[in-house]
Amino acid sequence: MTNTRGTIRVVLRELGYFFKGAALNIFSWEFLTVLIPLVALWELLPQLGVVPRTLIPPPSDVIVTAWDLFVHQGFIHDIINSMGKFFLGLGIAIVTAIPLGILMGWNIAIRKRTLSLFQLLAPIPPPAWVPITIILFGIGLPMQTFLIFIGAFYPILFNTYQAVKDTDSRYLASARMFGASEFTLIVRVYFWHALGALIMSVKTGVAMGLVMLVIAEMYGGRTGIGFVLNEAKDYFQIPKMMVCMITLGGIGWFLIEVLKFIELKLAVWKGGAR
Amino acid sequence: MVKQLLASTLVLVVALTACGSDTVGTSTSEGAPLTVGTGGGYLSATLYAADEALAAQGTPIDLQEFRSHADVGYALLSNTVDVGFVEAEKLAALAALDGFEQLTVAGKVTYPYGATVVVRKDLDVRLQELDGLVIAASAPTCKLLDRFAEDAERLGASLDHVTYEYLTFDAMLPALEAGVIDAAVIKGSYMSLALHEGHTVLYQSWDVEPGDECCPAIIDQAELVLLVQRDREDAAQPLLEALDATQKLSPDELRQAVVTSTTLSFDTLQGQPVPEFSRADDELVALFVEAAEDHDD
Repeated sequence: MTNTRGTIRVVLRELGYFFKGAALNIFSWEFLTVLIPLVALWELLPQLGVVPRTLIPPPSDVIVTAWDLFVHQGFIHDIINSMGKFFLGLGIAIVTAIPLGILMGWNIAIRKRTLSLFQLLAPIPPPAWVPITIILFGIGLPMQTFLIFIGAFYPILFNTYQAVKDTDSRYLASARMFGASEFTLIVRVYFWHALGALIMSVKTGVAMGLVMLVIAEMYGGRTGIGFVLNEAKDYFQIPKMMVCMITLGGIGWFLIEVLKFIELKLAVWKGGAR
Repeated sequence: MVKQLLASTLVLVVALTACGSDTVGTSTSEGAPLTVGTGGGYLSATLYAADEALAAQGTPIDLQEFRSHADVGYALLSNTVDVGFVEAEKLAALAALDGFEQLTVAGKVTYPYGATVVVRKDLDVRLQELDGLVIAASAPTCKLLDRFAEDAERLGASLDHVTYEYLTFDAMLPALEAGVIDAAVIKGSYMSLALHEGHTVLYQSWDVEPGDECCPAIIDQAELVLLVQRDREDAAQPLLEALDATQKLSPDELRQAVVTSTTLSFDTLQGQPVPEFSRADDELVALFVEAAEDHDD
């Protein structure tokens, strides 16, 4: 009972730190001096007729549309649906790209057999995978998940591989001196050395995954932020498009804040570089 | 403090420059070829034929194919195309946006309405086997659905256990492709696309007159509307004349123009009605806006 209470207290305390840190990042004095004038200009220019209001709706119009979308049109279900696909695709990318990247960075034999293949495939722009993905998976969740996966996979793989490959040889030599096995080297030296770069690579993966989420939701299914965004685009509903764009931006920002927090907790030596 | 304010100002200037609107667009110069935007497909048959004719006359147009006719609407508003075809059903929404006043209606493309039932490519079913499947229709009471239901009953097919999904025509083919539905009752102009995607036409009747809430009579006015930048009306005249001239072409000549310009095959198009171009004016916009307002009420 005491343990449970203690755990809850720790979780709440950490959540508090997280939200405080995230809020401080966005509401910092420096950023507010940029954000507030930008939003004010965005509101004023269409209101004063300097830019066409129907083409560039001011934030007040976007807020009204957002209210309607969330309260009357069940937009939250679209967000949940999109996030389900997104985390599935990103999760698969993380659990495949990180071990593979570590193995490629650790072992030259594995590297020589795989690196050229990935270097050949990586430059293919993720949207170019759409037709072949539709042929392979049809249209639906597997195809959408694969597209998000392919968007996030390569940034994570290459950053992990590079970071592991660049591990300081003195750390390895020291560990070997103490009789560390290759497995111990991987989990105790390579992984921790690469952690900062690895989290950075997941941040890039999040951004690429969100891009691919919108593309994936253009095909098949009738739910999700990407679907709503595309439908709004096709019917010239610009405020609705903006709500979707801001939502995607907000999700991306939140996830990056989460990753920064994880980095701060795990890669403490990188804390000062935030 | 001064340093911080300077930094913020610099970032603001950069941000504003990055967000800088280009809505004025790049108006085409007088001597340049007419830029024409289209969403492509079978409905652009008359445009493809006119394009070939103009190229043969030595006055080619710059044909820009967009992913959808809605994208053509944005290109017209930003003045990056001189002329463009947009879907008639979206005309009212487009007309509500700033910049539409610089456009004028020059013509329309019509296509027989028709009731068509397409079945998903991986299903091999007959009319009598539709019962129990999921079929998309545009509304519970729709002339297309009524027509199909009447004919199905006459042919001894029961639809008692069909589950209906009500979707827009735009959403039906993607839903079919996704396997969300088994069949769809589409209007005629979507048939070539359905066939091109490999689905099967199970039923078809061109004997349908629009004129109810789901298929308003206004739809009979046009499938696509040709919009022209007001300051390029004179430059658009040769194109309009070439489009008029397509009325004299045989259906096979129009189908051949589509085959030449797209990946659609002649076999897919054979037997289907062909789209027709005719002149129209701004009154068409008023009709569509009125229809949209009635629908909203």
